[in-house]
Amino acid sequence: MSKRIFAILLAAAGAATAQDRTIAAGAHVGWVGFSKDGATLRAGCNDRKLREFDLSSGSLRNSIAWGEGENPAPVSAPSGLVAVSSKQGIALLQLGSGSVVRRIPMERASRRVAIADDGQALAGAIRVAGLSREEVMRLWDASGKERFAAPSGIGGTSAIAMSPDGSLLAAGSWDTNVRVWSTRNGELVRLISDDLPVAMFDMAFTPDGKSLAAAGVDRMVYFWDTKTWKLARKLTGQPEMIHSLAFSGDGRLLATGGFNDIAEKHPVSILVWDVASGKVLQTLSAPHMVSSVALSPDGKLLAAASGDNLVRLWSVR
Amino acid sequence: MKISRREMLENCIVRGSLVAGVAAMPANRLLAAWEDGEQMARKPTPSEVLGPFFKKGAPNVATLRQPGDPGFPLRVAGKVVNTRGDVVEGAWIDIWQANHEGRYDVVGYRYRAKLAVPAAGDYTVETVMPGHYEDRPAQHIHYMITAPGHKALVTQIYFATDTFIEGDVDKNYRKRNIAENRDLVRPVKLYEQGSPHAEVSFDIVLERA
Repeated sequence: MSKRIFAILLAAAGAATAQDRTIAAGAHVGWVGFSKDGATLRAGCNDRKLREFDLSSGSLRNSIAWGEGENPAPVSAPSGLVAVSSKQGIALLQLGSGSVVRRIPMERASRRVAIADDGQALAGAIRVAGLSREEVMRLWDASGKERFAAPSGIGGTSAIAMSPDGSLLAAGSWDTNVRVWSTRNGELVRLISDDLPVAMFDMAFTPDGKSLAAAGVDRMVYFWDTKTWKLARKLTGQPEMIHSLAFSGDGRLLATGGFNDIAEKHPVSILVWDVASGKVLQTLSAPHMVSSVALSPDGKLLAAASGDNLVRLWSVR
Repeated sequence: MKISRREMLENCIVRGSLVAGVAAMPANRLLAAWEDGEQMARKPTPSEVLGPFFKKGAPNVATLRQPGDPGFPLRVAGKVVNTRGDVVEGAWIDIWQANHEGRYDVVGYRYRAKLAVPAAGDYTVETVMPGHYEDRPAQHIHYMITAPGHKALVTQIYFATDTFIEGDVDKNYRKRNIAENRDLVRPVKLYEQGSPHAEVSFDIVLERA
């Protein structure tokens, strides 16, 4: 994108809604999420802490810490669990107390982890041994027993999501392919290959489970029908690559944000879409790369992490 | 019944030891030594991260640099072989890089190709020196190589002339955890006469599947 066009886009973004408020997280924020009741904002910070803020007062309610070399997996954790991945494996922590619910030892760190909404399954991919960059997706049940391990592509997992009913696991690989498995037995339900020329940075099922949405390098949001697995639609309009997407609890709204290919430190747009019409309802501006967006369950608040110590919050109209 | 390669080798070793009477070395160690020697005539090319900017469907063109393109002309050439040093047939090389300013074309296919490697196993790419970008400030070119009967390889090359390397590959190749393997920082030949350009050789050694 030329600098001129970019400046025009910036001006357009600036003319839109001003940011409502910020919450200082005390450290660089990598991902954000809301609690199921919408009362709490969660921020995964790079000082190895997950901080929970009371949304009405903005005050710090709680924080849990993890060890050196451990990275929080960006999961919304409606079950009240958060997964932390390190070279030793995955640890499931209980929000609130921070106590370790379960440890799943692995030979390498899993970069992307998904937890079922009911907390009954956990999935993560790791690189296979040797020179190859192939990965294997593994899924464990609530007792920590491995239910399946399946090849998940070359180059690593770029995005992962579990369906709201917990029956499907979807993951995108940096080789651009997306795979969908049955969480029951690991059967490959679909390999999405031809629809996607580029890698997906993030994906999510719609709250009704009827669609899988994914977005990434080519700035589009793809929707697949989860019955036929046909590409149902593509939303265009985001000026930058999309790094994060999130639905409101009722599935009516979608938020997207990301980064442009010039540099991470350039301002970017965050869009709020009306899912039914595919129209952009709101264009917001963040000062630099958006690593994570979240919509409150009632769809009234949008939160974004944008490469600094602040969580930015906007009212959604 | 189909006999596996390992079974065949084991057979040969057992028979060989019976005939030649080399009982001093246990069969399993002899087998391992045999396999190592056979497999490691050439060391497999190390892998590197795939990165976020791979794009499927690039054209089968060896000339990525178009007339008038800014940037220092670069030719990268090599061959695709297996660990025994034999030419690998039917290989495809996906190659992608940032332009001289450090930007990837994510909309089209500039500085991207998917080369069908000819039967002789040689490949050549005419391109420009990739630029630097903030997130990964070492110049690099991405590769993904596939060939029937071989493991897919994802790797990258870096350049010994890169200012990032500061003239000392041994000391600096791991700087900022970018390159993982010293061998992938390639020497660069610079040609000043005629049309100034750089040349890098990079052979790709694939492991059998």
